Order: sequence, then structure tokens, then C-alpha cells
Amino acid sequence: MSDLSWLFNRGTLTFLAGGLGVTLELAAISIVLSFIAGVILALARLSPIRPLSIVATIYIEGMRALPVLLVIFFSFFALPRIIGVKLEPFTAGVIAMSAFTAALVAEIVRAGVLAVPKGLIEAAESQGLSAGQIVRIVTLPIAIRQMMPALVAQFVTLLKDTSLTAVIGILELTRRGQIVFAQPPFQPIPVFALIALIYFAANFGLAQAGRRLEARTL
Amino acid sequence: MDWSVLRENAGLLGAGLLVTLEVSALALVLALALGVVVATLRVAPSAALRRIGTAYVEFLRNIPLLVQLFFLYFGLPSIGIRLDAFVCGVLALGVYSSAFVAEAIRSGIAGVPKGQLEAGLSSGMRYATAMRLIVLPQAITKTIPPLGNTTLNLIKNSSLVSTVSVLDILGTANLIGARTFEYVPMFVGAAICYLILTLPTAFFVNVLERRYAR
Amino acid sequence: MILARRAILTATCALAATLVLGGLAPSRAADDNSVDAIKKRGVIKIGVKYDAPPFGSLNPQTNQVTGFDVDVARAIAKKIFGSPDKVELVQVKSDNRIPLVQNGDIDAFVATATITPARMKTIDFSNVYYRAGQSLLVKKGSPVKTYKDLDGKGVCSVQGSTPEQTIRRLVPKANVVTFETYPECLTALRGGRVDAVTTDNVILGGFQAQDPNNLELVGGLFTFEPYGIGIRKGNASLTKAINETLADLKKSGEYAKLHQNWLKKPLPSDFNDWYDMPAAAAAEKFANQKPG
Repeated sequence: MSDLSWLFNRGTLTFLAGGLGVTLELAAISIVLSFIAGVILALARLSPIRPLSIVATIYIEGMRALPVLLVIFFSFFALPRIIGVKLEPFTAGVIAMSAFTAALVAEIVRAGVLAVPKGLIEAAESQGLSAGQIVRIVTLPIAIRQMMPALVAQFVTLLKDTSLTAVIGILELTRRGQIVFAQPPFQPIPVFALIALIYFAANFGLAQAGRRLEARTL
Repeated sequence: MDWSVLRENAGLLGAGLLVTLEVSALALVLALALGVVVATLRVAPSAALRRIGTAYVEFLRNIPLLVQLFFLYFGLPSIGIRLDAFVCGVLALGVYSSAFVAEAIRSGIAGVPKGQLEAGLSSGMRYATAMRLIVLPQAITKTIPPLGNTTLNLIKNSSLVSTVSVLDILGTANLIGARTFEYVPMFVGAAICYLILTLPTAFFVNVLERRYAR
Repeated sequence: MILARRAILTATCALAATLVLGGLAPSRAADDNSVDAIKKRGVIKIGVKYDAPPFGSLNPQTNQVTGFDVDVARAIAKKIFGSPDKVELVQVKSDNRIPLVQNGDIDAFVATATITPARMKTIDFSNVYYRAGQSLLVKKGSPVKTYKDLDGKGVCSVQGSTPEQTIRRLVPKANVVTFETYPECLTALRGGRVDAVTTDNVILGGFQAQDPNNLELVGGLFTFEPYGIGIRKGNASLTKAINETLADLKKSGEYAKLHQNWLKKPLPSDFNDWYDMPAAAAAEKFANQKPG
């Protein structure tokens, strides 16, 4: 137990760092995609076009009611059968994480938009501001400020949930940890401790960055 | 795609649904019990106790549930502690969720303005009475929506037990999918099972949220 | 004003929809995995396992994938391109290698896959390139000596693999535990969660070699597992090229070298009985065997 050179050597640490890289890459791409898709879904749900609103509502509520692990398995094993397009594990992972998180982002965005007082918009309209100006100057800043804490929490969840893609064979941090402790000297606990620490640092960092961003938008 | 595979294995999926329910119910009890204790620590008058509570919450919230579960299942046997896969699942899920329960309760208590307790006291109420009549009812109403969400997430997160060979809904669907290559029907079946559990819960949470909002 | 707001919202939604449909829609060309297409592409994509030494495994120290299957994959690249380096290795697992080759995502897989009649309905196989047999890996001193001892005991294999199905059939009362890959099975064996790990003897041999003081192989070979290279159904040009590669490997003596290098053994005495056996015959022999 005392000699941990099997874990703390350049080769193994590089291998695990590569896993962290995959984890962060997966999370970053999924954050961007889920944010874009989430905003679109939120607007669709708020849209006066009823069919659009209904479809968005069904998607959001349905996705929110499912386990993300099921979405990941579905994206990897079942989706290629349906759409006839083959998916690399990483692509399947990104699709699953983005499609799932988009539904949650959509609800956060919708709540943010609804939180903007109607009177404020009417006041701005009576001041002669154009619709574009209203969105830019009034609606967005208030909505974003409202959304930030929930969004950051959601993205921390996403970062944690990327660990689930280990089960479809993406060589991210958790899976690489499994590979390391399946080799001599077969000691899982130091590996788990190290991985937990890395995740903790990454999530804590993300939360801190979010808080700083929040402070700046205020 | 052969949908008959779903009909043939409906019984197995049903059994998986019961396992999911069992894991979720046991983990929820554990999460509530631990969560109340940790929430108490977090609002305790002693700074040291508060710090322990905070460390507990931050530690568990920032480490993926899967890593915690694998630690119990794959890690602990190396030091001679071998818990059953089902027990590992309940423990991991319950302990992980307890951090969120603690947060929900803490924010509920913190959400009641201090002035209200003081006002109650100054109008001649005893501390316990003021707590019971003024603070706690408000704290509970503020706690119910986030607790509902935590419960919902707990049910969904219970699917992770399938990764340590527990045959819950997802484990069953995956097993039959791998054996028959009929993944689409099996995952659709699994999704329906989860919706049966989560949609009513979500609906209930929404109702409570609307009733207690503000 | 309400109208204006509504118009903006509608326009935004329409724009968003266009972006989504236009930007994210898959726009891949039709799959073509023929030898001509592979030559035009300049690289052959072959699926190998990353967790099955000595056939294919990822070394955490070097981040390189090596093994017997990997060298066979490189020989195929050499046959087609004249260079063994024109191969793109793709990680496959027991439960995704068939969909991947079916979808045309990879041209072929050399991934410890047994030729079975069921699999031959969905994909094509090359001639037999290796003969394995299912065996058991246990902790030294385990009471488990043959598969017959597994009644009521825990046995681990990889989800969706032939060994999983075979052990379920042979020992219906065994508690079969499955994971995504072998490392989890090994960790489960070491942690005492299962009493045995079962799959092809060669894979087990690789794991045993990592920990010879604590693990041992028992039970002999209780199945006939003819390994074949998986190819998309109807891809005759690639099947032909791969079968020619296999014949060349035998003739040049290269195969015997690979065998010695990775499996640490000379060619077995029954080598000529199974090597180059056509896939259909191998599948039939596999289906008609009596285990034990």
C-alpha cells in the first residue's frame, strides 16, 4: 500500500490525464450543444405556434422523466438502427448527453424568460425601443442573471454524468481507472481516490468559474 | 426490429421494475435519514460541525455517483469488505442523494427570515412554539419542491445499479437486448417502465411546486 | 406591439428550426467497404479489442494497442496497400462489433469473434484464423475444477458474448454475472464477487499471465470456438482479400511466428484441421459440437 509508484508514474498518469481530456472534451461539446438546443427548445415551448409548442413540451417532459444512462445506451445501441447512421461511441455519447441536458436547459431558460416582468417589457415598448433592443437590453440580461445558478448546477451534473459513457466504451476518466486497477498490482482503492479527487477538482472548478461568470453578469 | 421480443419479456421487465422500485425506496429512506442529520449539522451553532456538514455535501455532490458505486462494488472487496451488489446500489444511491436532501432542507430553513422567529418570540411565544408554528411550516413548504426533485433524480439514478449486474429495469432491458440484438424494442420498453415511475412523481412534484411556490 | 413580439418569436423559432435541421442532419455518403473503396480511402478501418490480451489490448503505459489480432489486421493492410501501417484501429467490444461492421462503420473486425450460424445471418466471416475453446479462470486453490462445479456459483463473462450464452446453457443453475468488458470481470474475481471468469482460453491465458501466483486456468477447452474475421455481408472483394492474406500468413511461416510471439506456444498439433476452414463449415461444426 505504501509504495504507489505503480500509480504515480509518468505512463499511468499520462493515461489517466488523457481520460480527463476525453471527459472534459465530451462535457465541453455537450455543454455548447445542449445550451443551443435548450434555448431553441425553450423558445419552441414558449412559441405561439401550438404544434411547435406541443412537440417541444412532450420532448422536454419526456426526456426529463428518463434516466440519462438509458438515453446513453439508447443512443449507442438503438439509435443507429433507427436512423441508419453509424455512431462512434464518442458521437453517441455527445448526442446522448446533449439531447438529455437540452431538455433540462430548456426548462431553465424558459423559467428565466418567464421571470422577466411583463411590465418591464411594456415600459420599454412605451419608451419606443425596438423589439430587438428590448430583447438585448431588457429581456436577456434579466433572464440570464436568473438562469445562471441553475445552468451552472446543470453543467456540473453533466460533467459528472459523462462518467456514465464509460459503459459504452468511451475511454474517459472512469473507464481508464478501471483499466489501471485491473492490472498489477490490482489495487482499486488508490485509483478510486485519485479519480474522485480529479472529478472533485474539475466540478469544483466548473462551479467556481460559473460563480465568477455570474458575478460578472450581475 | 421485432417487437414481439418486448411482449415475450414483459414479465422480466416487470420484475426489473419491482427491483428499481425496491432500490429506489430503500435508498430514499436512507437519503432522508442521512439528509436530515447532515442538514442539522449544516445549521448547527458549532462552526466545526457546520464544516463537517459542508464537506460531506460538497464531497458527495462533486463526485460522480458511478465512481462512488464502483468504489463500493469493485474497490471495497480489496480490503475485505464484500457487500452484495444490491446493497452496494442502495448504499451508493442513498448516500449520494442524502447530500441533495441535506441541501434542500438547509435551504428551506435558511429561507425563513430570522425576523419572523424574533417577531414570534417578541409577541410572547415560546421558542418551541414559534419554531413549530412559524418557522417549520414555512421551511417545510420551501423544502418540498426540491425534495420532490431529489426523489425524481433518485429514481432515475437508480438505473446505475444495472452497471454492477443488478437486474433492474435497465439491466433487464440491456441483458435481453444483448442476447437478442433487439435493442430498440427493449429500450423503448425500459423507457415506458421508467415513465410509469417518474411521470406520476414529476406530476406530483409539479402540483406541490405550484401549491407552495412563493 | 404584441404582434411584433409574436413575429420576432416566430422568426426566431423558424430560424432555429432551420439551423437544427440544416446543421445537425447527418450528411454522410453511402457506405462502401469494398476493396476498391478502401484503396481510394487510403486506409482500412479494422475493429480490434482493447481489453483482450494477448489478442488486442491497450497498454496504459504507452497508449498503444498491440496483440495477435492487431498483427493480423496489419497483415491485411499490408496485403491491400503493401504497407502494414495503413490501418486505422477502432476499439470494438463483443456487443458492438457486429453492428459496427453491419453499419459499415468499420471494414472488418479481428476481435476474437467466434464464427456461429446466428452471426453468419447478419455478417460474413473469413476462413478460420484461430481455434480457441472456452475455459475457466479461477483463483488458485478454488474448488471449481470444471464447468460442472459451477452449479450455484458465480461466473462472470462479457455481456453479449458467446461464452456467456454457452455457460448459461451448460450450467443453468450458475449465477452468471455480466459486465461490459473483461477488466470488470477480473476485478470481480479478485474481489471474490464471482468464483470464475469464463471465455476463450487464450484471453484467460493473457489475464493469468499478469497474475500467475494467484490465478489459474482450469477445465480444459470445453468448446470448439473457430475465430473468424467479421466482414459486412456481401462484401466479396474484401472477404477474398482477407482469405488470401490468411493463406499467405500460413505459407510464409509468418503465422507460426505470430503464434509463438503472442501465445508463447508453437502451433498446436491440430493446426491443419482448422486453419483456413471455410466459415460455413466452421459454423456448422461449432453448432453441432457436444461440449465437454
